[in-house]
Amino acid sequence: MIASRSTSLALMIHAALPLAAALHPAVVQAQPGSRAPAQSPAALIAGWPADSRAEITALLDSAAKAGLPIDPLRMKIAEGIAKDAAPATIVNVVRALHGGLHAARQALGVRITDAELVAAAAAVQSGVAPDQLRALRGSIPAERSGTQLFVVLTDLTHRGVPVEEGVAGLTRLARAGAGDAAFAQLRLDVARDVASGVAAQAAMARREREYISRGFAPSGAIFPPPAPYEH
Amino acid sequence: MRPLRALGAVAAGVAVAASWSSLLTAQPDERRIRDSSLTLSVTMRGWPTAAGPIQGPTVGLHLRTEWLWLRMHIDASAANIDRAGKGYATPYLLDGQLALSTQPMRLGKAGADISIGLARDAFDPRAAWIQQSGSLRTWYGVASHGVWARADAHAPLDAHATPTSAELQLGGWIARGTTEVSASVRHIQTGRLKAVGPDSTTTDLSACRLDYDRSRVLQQYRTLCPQRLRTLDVGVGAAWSVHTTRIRLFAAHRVLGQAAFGAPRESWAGGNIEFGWSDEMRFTLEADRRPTDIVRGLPAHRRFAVGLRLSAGLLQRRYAVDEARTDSLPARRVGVLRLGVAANAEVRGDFTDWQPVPLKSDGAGVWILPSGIRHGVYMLSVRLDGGVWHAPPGLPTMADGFGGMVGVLLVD
Repeated sequence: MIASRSTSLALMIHAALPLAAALHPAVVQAQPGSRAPAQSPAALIAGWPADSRAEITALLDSAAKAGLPIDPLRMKIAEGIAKDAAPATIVNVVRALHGGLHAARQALGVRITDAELVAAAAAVQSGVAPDQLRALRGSIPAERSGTQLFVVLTDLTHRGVPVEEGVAGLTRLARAGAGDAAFAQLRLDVARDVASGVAAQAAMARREREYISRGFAPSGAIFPPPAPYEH
Repeated sequence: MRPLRALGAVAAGVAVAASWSSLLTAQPDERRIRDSSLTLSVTMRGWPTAAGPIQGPTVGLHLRTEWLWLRMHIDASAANIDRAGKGYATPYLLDGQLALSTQPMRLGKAGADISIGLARDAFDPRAAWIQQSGSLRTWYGVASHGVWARADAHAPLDAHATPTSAELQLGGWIARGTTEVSASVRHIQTGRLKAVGPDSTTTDLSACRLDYDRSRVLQQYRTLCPQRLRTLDVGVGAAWSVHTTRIRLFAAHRVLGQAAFGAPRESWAGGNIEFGWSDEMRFTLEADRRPTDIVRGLPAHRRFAVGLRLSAGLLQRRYAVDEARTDSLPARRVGVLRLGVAANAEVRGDFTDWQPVPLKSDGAGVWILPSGIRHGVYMLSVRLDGGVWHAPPGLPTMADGFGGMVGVLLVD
């Protein structure tokens, strides 16, 4: 009975995908150039064992019911297949992504874009708690997107910056006037520092101090560094 | 004597136009932005003289792409001096300069730029002269400190007006928080003037002096000197950045000068304040005193200016998505990745449904991303020459869940 219901929902999802993509330009999907059209989830998993298919279908069904974007899940399936991952592994990865999307939606509400939700879900998957996500999002104006902020946080945690430090540092920077350009610069500077042997946490703290002391331009970029001027 | 001083000040305006314009438009953040931009600056300049103020606008236009920097400026100054005549009245002054350079200065990277320029000054078209110049600048700088060196050579087509000259400058800067200090040393060496006009007020060339040449329609001071001249200057500067305002002060001293041009040792100073409500629109106020110019034979003088600088990214064609400020690729822009030199490169990611798609080369290891990517966040990986798939260097990364890493691309 459950399998039958899931199959029907999967078919509905399959049919609804093109409509969803058309209605949501921010949906994380694109068809540039002459590439073949994206395959539906049902087509992607057609050759899988029945239990894996059922689990994927249930996850997609759950996402659709919760108002979560389906496409990130579909693309994760495609990614797993492209990387020759076993169906069971792909199911686990898709489940984790579903959990991240759900947690991000719970923390940030429905007023954010799908792109921001996907970036927030990635942060959740890297260890950021929903409360931290909410606090960080609250440090920037509501009308601004937090996409870059979440992407940078995820990258920093990957480079070894503890989640607590990353969230606190980014929050302070955002409150001091930092914008997307400054966050992008922070990511590069910390990566450069870490590559040169500086501990990630120390690099984060040092860059935060430097940026805040230098100040931010109205655009949110770090105030320009000195110029080698002539007398 | 008053007309002479006044005209000297006008000529000084010609001499300083190039540096004046670059002061307004070669802003520090030029080193950080990799995309192309177009900058327009408009400056009102003025010189108080004994005969009254001389003033006029300077319009500068900078077109900068990733590898080429084109600078143009045109000065137009009007003077209302010596109404009584005597042939010294100067109704207008035009000066233009065109310079090309490569590799604008960038933080965190050593490099060099070479510029060649042509300057044309004209009170009157018949008296126009052209000066050729070449400059080589090399530097290394990070956010906290840096050093630079510059060598310049000038060769006027009319060697009667100004001698050939060479200039070497060495400098460095240190920045701590919102304060920065700098220091530099400059050495100038001139060649000999080839000849002196027959109507010059001075025929005695036994010593170097500034003279006023009545024979030229471009009536100006000039250097009369059968010898090579040299000066050595040292300078220090400081600057403060407070939110959107930037204040800069400097002072310099000529430790080796020419006694014939007044004091062999002289000091000068100046400052400017730049402020604005956005990066695209900035205002500048400047005032300073300039030293004797031994190349053009100009006396020391004071200057002041108020300027407006407008910048736009209207001419952007390529977006390096792996550098700061361009982490997010604006929709409808062409994004490029610096993956390195290879016979072929491929990308696969959310926007290709994870199917490999060949990338088109843009030369020198730069590869063009597929066009038409819509707004969103995309995971992607790349490979060169059929090798291992990996996250594009420079992009944000995250775990893919399958034991590897992927790059993250934002499209605004």
